[in-house]
Amino acid sequence: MIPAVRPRVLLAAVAGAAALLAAGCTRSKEETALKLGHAPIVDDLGRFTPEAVGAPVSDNPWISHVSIVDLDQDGLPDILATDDRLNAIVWLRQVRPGKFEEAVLYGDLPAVVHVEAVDFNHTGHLDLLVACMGQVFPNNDKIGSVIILENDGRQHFIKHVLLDHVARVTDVQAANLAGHTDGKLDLAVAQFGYIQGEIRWMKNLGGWKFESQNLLNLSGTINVCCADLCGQGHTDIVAVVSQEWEEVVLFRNDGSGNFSPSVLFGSTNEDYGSSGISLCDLNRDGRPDILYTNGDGFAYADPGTRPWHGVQWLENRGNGVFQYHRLGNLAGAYAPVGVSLDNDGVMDIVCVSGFNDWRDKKAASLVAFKNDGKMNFTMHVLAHEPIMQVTCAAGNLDNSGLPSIVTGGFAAYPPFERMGRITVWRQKPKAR
Amino acid sequence: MAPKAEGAVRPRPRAARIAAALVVAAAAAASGWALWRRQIVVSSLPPVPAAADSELADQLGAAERDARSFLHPVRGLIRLSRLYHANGDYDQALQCYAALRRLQPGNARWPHLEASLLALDGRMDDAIPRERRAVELAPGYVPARLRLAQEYQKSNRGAEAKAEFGRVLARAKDDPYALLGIALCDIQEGDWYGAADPLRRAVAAHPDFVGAMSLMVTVYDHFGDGEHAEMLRQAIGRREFIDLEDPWLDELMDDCYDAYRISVVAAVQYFAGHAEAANALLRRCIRLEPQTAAYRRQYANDLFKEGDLPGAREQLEIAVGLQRDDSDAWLLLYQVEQAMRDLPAASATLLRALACCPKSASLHLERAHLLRAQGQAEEEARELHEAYLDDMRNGEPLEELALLYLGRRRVGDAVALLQEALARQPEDPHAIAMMTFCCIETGDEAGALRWWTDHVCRQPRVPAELKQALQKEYQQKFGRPLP
Repeated sequence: MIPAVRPRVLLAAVAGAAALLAAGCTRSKEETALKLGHAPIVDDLGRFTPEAVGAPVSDNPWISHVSIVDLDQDGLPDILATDDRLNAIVWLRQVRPGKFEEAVLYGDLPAVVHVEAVDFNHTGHLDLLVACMGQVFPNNDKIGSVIILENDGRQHFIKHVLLDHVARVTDVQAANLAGHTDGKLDLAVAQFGYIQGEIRWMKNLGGWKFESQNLLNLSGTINVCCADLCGQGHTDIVAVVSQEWEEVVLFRNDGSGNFSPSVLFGSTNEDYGSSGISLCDLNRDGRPDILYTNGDGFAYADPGTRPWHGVQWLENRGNGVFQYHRLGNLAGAYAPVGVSLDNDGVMDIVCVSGFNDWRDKKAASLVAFKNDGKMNFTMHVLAHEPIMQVTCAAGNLDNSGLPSIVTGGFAAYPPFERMGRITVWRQKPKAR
Repeated sequence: MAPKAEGAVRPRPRAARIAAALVVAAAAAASGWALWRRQIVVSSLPPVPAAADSELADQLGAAERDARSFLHPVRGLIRLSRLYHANGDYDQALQCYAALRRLQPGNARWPHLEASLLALDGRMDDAIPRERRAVELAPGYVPARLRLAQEYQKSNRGAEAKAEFGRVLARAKDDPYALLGIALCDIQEGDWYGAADPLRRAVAAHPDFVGAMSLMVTVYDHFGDGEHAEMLRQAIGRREFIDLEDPWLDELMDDCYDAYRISVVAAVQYFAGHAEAANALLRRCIRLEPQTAAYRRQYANDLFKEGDLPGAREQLEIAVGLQRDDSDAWLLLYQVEQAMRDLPAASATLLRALACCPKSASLHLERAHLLRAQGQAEEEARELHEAYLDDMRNGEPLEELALLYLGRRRVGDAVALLQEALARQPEDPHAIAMMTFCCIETGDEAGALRWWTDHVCRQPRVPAELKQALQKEYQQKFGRPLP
C-alpha cells in the first residue's frame, strides 16, 4: 500500500527535481564547449589553370624553394627555384609573356634550399642570398653554408661564401639589423642542423666581412623573417623552430642589434610539425602579421598526415603582442603566402600540401584561404595534383591583373605518381 | 453505540508518513538527477560526423544510443568523447568534455583532455585554466602538472613554468621532462650555467633521454667544450626525442580507427622501448587495413629487431605480395632470410625484388654486396653504378665503387667518384678518409695533409681505426707521422 503523502512534500520533491533539471539546462560561461573554429571548405578547382614550366619531370623532382622575381629587370617577372637534384639554383626566365626558359643559374651549391633576390650592395642589380643545407636529409654534421651570389648586372655571379662548416642552413634574409646609417644590410640566418642548430644574425662590417652573433641554440629552425614587428622603428626577427621545440620566436631589436627573445606561439605537442612562416599584413592594419603552417609529416613512421596539421595567423596587435588564430586544417600544410587573389586589396592566403593522404585522389595539394574582408576565411581547394608540393610563391607573372601562383614539388617518398616539378597556376578571368 | 471508526482504520504513524515522503522525495530526486544528467548529455551531443571506417561508425552509433538512453547516458558520452578525440574529431570531443566536466566535476581527466586539445590548437589561454583545474583535482598525476608547466613556458610565463616544474620534482625527484623544462627556462633567461645543472642531473638519471642530452650538447657548445659535446653527440646517434608518457591521453589510441595514426604512435612506442605495446598497435593497424603493405613492413621490422625472424618473414611475404613495388619490404625480406641463413631463398628474393623494383638503389647495393662475396667484380661494379644512378642523394655506392677502383690501382677514377660522392654528402666520413688515402697513394703529400687537417680532423664521425690506418699509410709513404 502506498502511503499517502502530503501534497506539500510531493510538491517540494518535484520542485527540487525541476530545479535540478533547470540547472542542467543553463550553463556558466566556463562550462560552454569551446570550438576550434576551422574554416569551411569548398572546391574551387576551376579557378586556376596549371602549366608545368621549365624542364620536364624526368625523375622524382626535388624543388625546395621557388620565388617570383624579375632578375634581369626586363619588366617580365621570372622564377627562381632551388633544385636539390641538381644542387643548383635554376632561373626560369620569362622570355616573352607566358613563355619561360630554364637554365642553371649557379651550380655546385650542396642542398641549396632557399634563394632570396636582393640588391645587397646597392649596385642596382639583384644579388642572391643563398642557404645551403649541405644535405637535405637528416644529418647533424656541420655542412651548412651561407652564400651571396653577387650579380655583375648581366646575371653572372661572383660567389661569396660568408659562412660554412656550420649546422645546416635553411633560410637567410637581409635587413638592416644593426641600425646602419650607410645602407648596409645585415643577415638573419636559420640553421636547422639536426640535433643541434641555431639562429644567428650576421652584422655587415663592409667588404663582404661579417660578424656573427648567436640568437638561439635550438635545432630545427626552418624560416627567419625580418620586419619592424614591434612597431618601434627597428627591424626585428621572427623565426619558426620545429623539431621537438615547435615554437615561433620573436627577437625584438633595440635598434642596435641587441635582441631579446619571446615565444609568440609554442605547441606542447612535439610532433606538431611546424613547416614554415611568412609575413603579410593580413588584416591591412599596417602591422606585419605572421602566417604559419604546421604540416611536416617526417617523423617516426612513413611520412604522412596528422589531424592537427593546418594554417594559422598570428595577428600583430602591436608592441610585440601577437594573437593566435587557427584558420583551418590542412594535412601536410607548407609554405603560407599572403596574396590578394582577387586583386581587391583583401588579403588571402595560399599554401600547398607536402604530406597529404595521397591514396585519396581528392586530397588537396594547393589551397587558398579566402578572406571575406572581415577576416572570416573559407578554404578553397584549388588542386588535387600535382601532389607533394612544398614551396609556393604568388605574384603578378603577367599583365592579367590577377596574381598567379608558382609551386614546386619535392617527391622524396612514395607514391611517385602525379608529380610536378615547377608549376605556374594562372587565374582564369572571372565571369562577369 | 456507534462503532469506533478509529478502531476499524488504524491511524498511520507519523514516522511512516515521513518515511514514505522521503522515499518519494528520494525517488523524485533520483529521477530528477538522472533526468538532469541525461538532459545535459543529450543537449551536448554533437552531430555525428561521417566516419570513414565502418567499425568506427558502428562504435559511434552504439555510443550515441547509449548517450541518449535513460540508463547509461554518461557512459555513452564518455565513449563518444574517446572516439571523437582519438579519431581527430576535436570539436566534437571538446563538446563532450565540456559536458563531462559538468557531470563529473571532480574528475581531473576531463579538464586535462580538454586542455590537451586546446593546447594542440594553440589556445593556451583556454588550456591553462583547465590544466590547472586538472592539477588541483589530481595533484599526483604528473603528466598534467608537466603539461601545465609546459603551457606556461610556451606562453612566456617562465616563473610559473619553473615553479610548476619544481613541484613535479618535489614529487618525482629526477623527472627528466621537468629537469629539461627548468633548463629551457634557464636558457630563455640567458642563464647557461643554471641550465647545465638540471641537464646533468637528467642525463645522469636517464642516460637515454635524448631531450636532455641534445640540449646538454648545446650547453657544451655554448661553453666551447667541443670534446664533451662530441662525446654526447655520438652517444645520441640517430635516436629521437620521445614525448612524455600521458596514460590518460595515450590510452585513447585503443579507440583510434585511423591505421596510419596508430602506426605513428606505434613507431614512437618502439623508439621509447615499448616493443610489445608497439607491436600490439601494429597488429591493430593490420587488422584495420589488412591490404596495406606498409603496416606489415613496419611490424616485420620490429619483429626482426626483436629476433622473431619467422614472424617477420611471414609479414614481409604478405607485404610484397600486396605491394610489389615496396622496395623497403623486399630489402627487409632479403635481410631476414639472410639472418635466417636461408641463403638460396635470400638470393632468389633479391632477384625477384629487383624484377619488381628495378630502380631501387638499396636493392642494387645489396646485389653488389652479394656479387662481391661471389668474387664477381665486374658485375659488382655495374650494380654499384646502378645503385648510384637510382639514388642521387646517397654517396655510399660511389664510395664502394671507388674502393673497387682503388683495389685495381685506378686512383684517378676513384677520386672522381669520391668527389661526386662528396657533392651528394659533404664531409661524409668515409669519403674524406678515402680522399686522404688517394692523395697518399699518389704521393700528393700536400693534398693528403689538406684532406687530413681540413676534413678528417674536423669530422668527428671518422672511425678511429680509419684514422689509424691513414696515419700508418702516411708514415709508410712519406716517412714521417701525420700532424
